[in-house]
Amino acid sequence: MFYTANNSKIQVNGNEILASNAEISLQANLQPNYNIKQRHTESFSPTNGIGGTLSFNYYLTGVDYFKSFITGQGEAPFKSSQVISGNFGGLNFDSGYLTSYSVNFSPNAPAIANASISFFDQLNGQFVPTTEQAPTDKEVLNFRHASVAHYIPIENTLLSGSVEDFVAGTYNYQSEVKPVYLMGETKPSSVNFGPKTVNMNFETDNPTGYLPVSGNTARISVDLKNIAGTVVENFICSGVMRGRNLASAVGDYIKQTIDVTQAATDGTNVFVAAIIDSYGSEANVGIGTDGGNI
Amino acid sequence: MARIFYDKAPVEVQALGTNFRETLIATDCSINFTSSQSPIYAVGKKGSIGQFPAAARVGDISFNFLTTITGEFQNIVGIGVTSSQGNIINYLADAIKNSTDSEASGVIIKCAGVSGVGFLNSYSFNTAANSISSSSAAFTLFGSGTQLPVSGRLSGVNAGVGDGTSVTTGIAHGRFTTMPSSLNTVLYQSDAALGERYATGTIYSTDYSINFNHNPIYKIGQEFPVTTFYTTASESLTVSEDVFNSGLKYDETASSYDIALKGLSNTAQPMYVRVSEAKEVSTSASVGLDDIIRTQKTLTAAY
Repeated sequence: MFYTANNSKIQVNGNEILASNAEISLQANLQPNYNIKQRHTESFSPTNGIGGTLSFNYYLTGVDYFKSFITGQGEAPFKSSQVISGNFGGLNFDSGYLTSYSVNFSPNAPAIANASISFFDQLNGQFVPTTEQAPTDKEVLNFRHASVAHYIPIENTLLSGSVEDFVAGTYNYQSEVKPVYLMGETKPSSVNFGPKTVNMNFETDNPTGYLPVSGNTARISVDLKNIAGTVVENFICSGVMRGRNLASAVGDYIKQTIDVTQAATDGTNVFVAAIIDSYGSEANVGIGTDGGNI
Repeated sequence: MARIFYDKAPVEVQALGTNFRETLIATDCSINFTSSQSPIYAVGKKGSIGQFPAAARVGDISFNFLTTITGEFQNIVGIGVTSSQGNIINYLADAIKNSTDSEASGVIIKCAGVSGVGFLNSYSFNTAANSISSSSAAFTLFGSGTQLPVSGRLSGVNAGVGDGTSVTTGIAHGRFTTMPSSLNTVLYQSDAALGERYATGTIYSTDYSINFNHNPIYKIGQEFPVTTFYTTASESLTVSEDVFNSGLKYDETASSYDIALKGLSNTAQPMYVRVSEAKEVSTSASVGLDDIIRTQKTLTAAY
């Protein structure tokens, strides 16, 4: 029996996704077992838990649900929404984590994001075809209605020039997620979150080769608006500009690309607000220290 | 409601940044304005979510016109002070293809109250024995910044001469137009018995065309381009003769040709077109009932 794309609904944490394409893959980690006298074997053993990936491109129609995982996933306060359950035409999992997310900014193009969710479990359920009419009340956002703001402090105006036009770019988020298996587990009881980075790559005007050895502080913010001009989503990358690229080809103009990376993506700052002494009141820190600042 | 007869729809072209403006003797004109809408479909849903814009709006204007040759413009590059006569499209084509600046400004094109800034896409003309020469031109209108590619509404415009506008009357004709002698195909044969023999082709007609490539630069947050670049041009000359060059070389020699289009006066200044470093790329022969065998050769040049 064959089905069409119309028959497989995609849901993430119960939210329907208007995806243009989707792919789910499942991988068992198996290794052939050889003994010392063998070059051939018919025996395989698992070397790690089973896992897979659900990746899809989807249209942005408003506030993007996945953006909350960029600042929230793996950060305190831990929320239940950090774990992602997914459903692809009835095949489902409940231990997924957002590992990559990207949006391409192209002039006059519909806003399309790509998300990739890694899960560390078997797929449950079975494929159940659905038939559902497409919604007609959705507005697919378009980069015609976007605005770009930037803050790139210039230390050497002569060499660095200034950026006026942002032609096109990409917003990328990458997160390292490692499952932690306890003895006897095939489904991890927890996961470890590694470094998370946000990267923004933008083609701009005004070609220059200025880039100090320590990089250049940079902040780029893209507001995505609906047709009424209301900002409904925002993409920010605030970090350092650590790369420039100049390219030219026959029949084309000179393209300059800047690369900005942000390595701090937590939505909340963790800090010590106060030290409480044995009497339950705020106290000084250490011997001889005084004042509110540590 | 606009009901405008063709006599109230002159085609006027004005080069930006210059005083050059001409109302062409156009025989037709068409204006198109398109908005790109793509239906969007989603996995798991039957039918379209809707149709959404996928590209900027663009327009185009194309028209045919009689090849007027008595307008006064700048000299044709490489020919000199005697070559300033012609029509504004010929002047534009020459200026663009010889331009060393990449950023293009476009020209204002108006027809019956509708106007836009257009970038020359193609220009062509033909000339044949005892025939009036006709030309055609096509422009793409990208718009710029907040400026729409096409604006205005249909309204009748007097085709008479307005301020700074001239209607040129001299029209190229095949009667006195001659092609440069170097364009004629010359075949050479050395025979022991007959000696050296030459066969020189007679040119019956010539079709000229040039196509330009422009590259509009769009940025996010703005529909129309920030700027538009002119990139390359390719020129083609198709000559109809009666001599077939079966000795077409693997690498033909490049030559330049100055085409002089004349009206019904053998002494008046012609309109020049210089085809630079053109190479013959094809040759063909065909015959039909009640006619001689006619051959065609095509030369191309690139800018």
